[in-house]
Amino acid sequence: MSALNVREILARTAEQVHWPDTVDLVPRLGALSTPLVTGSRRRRWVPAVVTVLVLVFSLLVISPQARQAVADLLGAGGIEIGFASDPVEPVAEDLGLGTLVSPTEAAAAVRFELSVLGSLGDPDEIYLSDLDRVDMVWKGGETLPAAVGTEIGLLYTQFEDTGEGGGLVKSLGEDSSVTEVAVLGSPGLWIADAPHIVFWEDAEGNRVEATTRLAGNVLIWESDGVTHRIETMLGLVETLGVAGSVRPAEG
Amino acid sequence: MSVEGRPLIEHELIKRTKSGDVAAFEELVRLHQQIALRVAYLVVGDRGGAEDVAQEAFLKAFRSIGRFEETRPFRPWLLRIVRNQALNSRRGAGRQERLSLRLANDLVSGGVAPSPESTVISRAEGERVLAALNRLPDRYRDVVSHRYLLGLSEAETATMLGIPPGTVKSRSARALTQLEQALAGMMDTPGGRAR
Repeated sequence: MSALNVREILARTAEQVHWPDTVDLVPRLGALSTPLVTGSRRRRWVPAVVTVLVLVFSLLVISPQARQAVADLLGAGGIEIGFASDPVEPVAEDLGLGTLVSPTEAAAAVRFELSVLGSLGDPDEIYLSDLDRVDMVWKGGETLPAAVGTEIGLLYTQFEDTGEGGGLVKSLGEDSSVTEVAVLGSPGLWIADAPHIVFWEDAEGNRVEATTRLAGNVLIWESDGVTHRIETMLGLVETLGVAGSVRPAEG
Repeated sequence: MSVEGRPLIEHELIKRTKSGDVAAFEELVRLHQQIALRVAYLVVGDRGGAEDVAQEAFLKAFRSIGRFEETRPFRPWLLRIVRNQALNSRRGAGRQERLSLRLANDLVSGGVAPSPESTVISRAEGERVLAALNRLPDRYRDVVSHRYLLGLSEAETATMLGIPPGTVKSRSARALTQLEQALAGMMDTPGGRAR
């Protein structure tokens, strides 16, 4: 049996599959009166971001340099950065990471090639959010200091920049520093010295929800359409070492 | 403005939808609802669930069409929304990620009614294929089911699954090899039956 035969067998099988009858869905759509989303994604979601920030903080400055750096990093504009005047308190009790899953389940659920941090061994926990985001958690220990108020030593997040909307919105404390770095040849940013808050927007861009995270430093980079983010209490050099051990997950 | 039953090309329907013509979008729905239902069914595995998913996906597409770039093909953009909606629905229901497809009761081949013997052979072969597909790693099964069961192009499959076309090609090749081995193994078993 050759690969060509397998294609023929699949073609025959496709003809035999019992698909559900096609129903006319138009009557089920009801009154399509929702205003159409028009204009670019950036113009659309920046007001939403600003609304959230104004409610929570006093927005002082949007750094042109930081914005440009991030725009260069993630061409589709996956991240927006603003600086807040009030201290941003990390909330460690509920990280909102999603559903606890197995490595196999995580790899199967997302549309991108899932990676792992080889130098850390297997993660202690893996979470899958309904936004196609995977969070891997390593608990703190002697070599991996836990974030204040948590048992978490390192949080590794992966999500796809679909270009269809959605993305990460980050609010930095005034004292945060942003440094451009290279991770395995890909451009990245190192955000350090202050807590921050992350806001997520779903793939269709029609809702925004706040997700609070650790108070650690953050290394974020983009590779092959996937955004990688490490949050840890480790320093830049150590974190770059961890990031350099990224490899495809098995399965 | 109404569609008035005239054959409009998809591009014009999209432009009219963006300008607020609901009837144009309804025409788009009718053009794509069959494949949308099949994409949803492939993921959620039941007819009612597939209809709910497709309905919600079309509503999302309507709300998002202002951001759709008209230089890109519409169908994979739409079907990706359908698939994402279906995946969310399946996760919410806590269902397993495997094909729930079954074969039609009345098999017809080439427009000619098959003999009872060939019907039995075809059904056995189809059942073996579905069983073998379910044993593939998810990422291989996804590619094969979209390319060969849904009949999508390589480019459409890539857009829908959010992977490069080259990855579709390589996964497809590996999947076909694994399928070939699996099917050969099944035929070696007593009776060659699907397990």
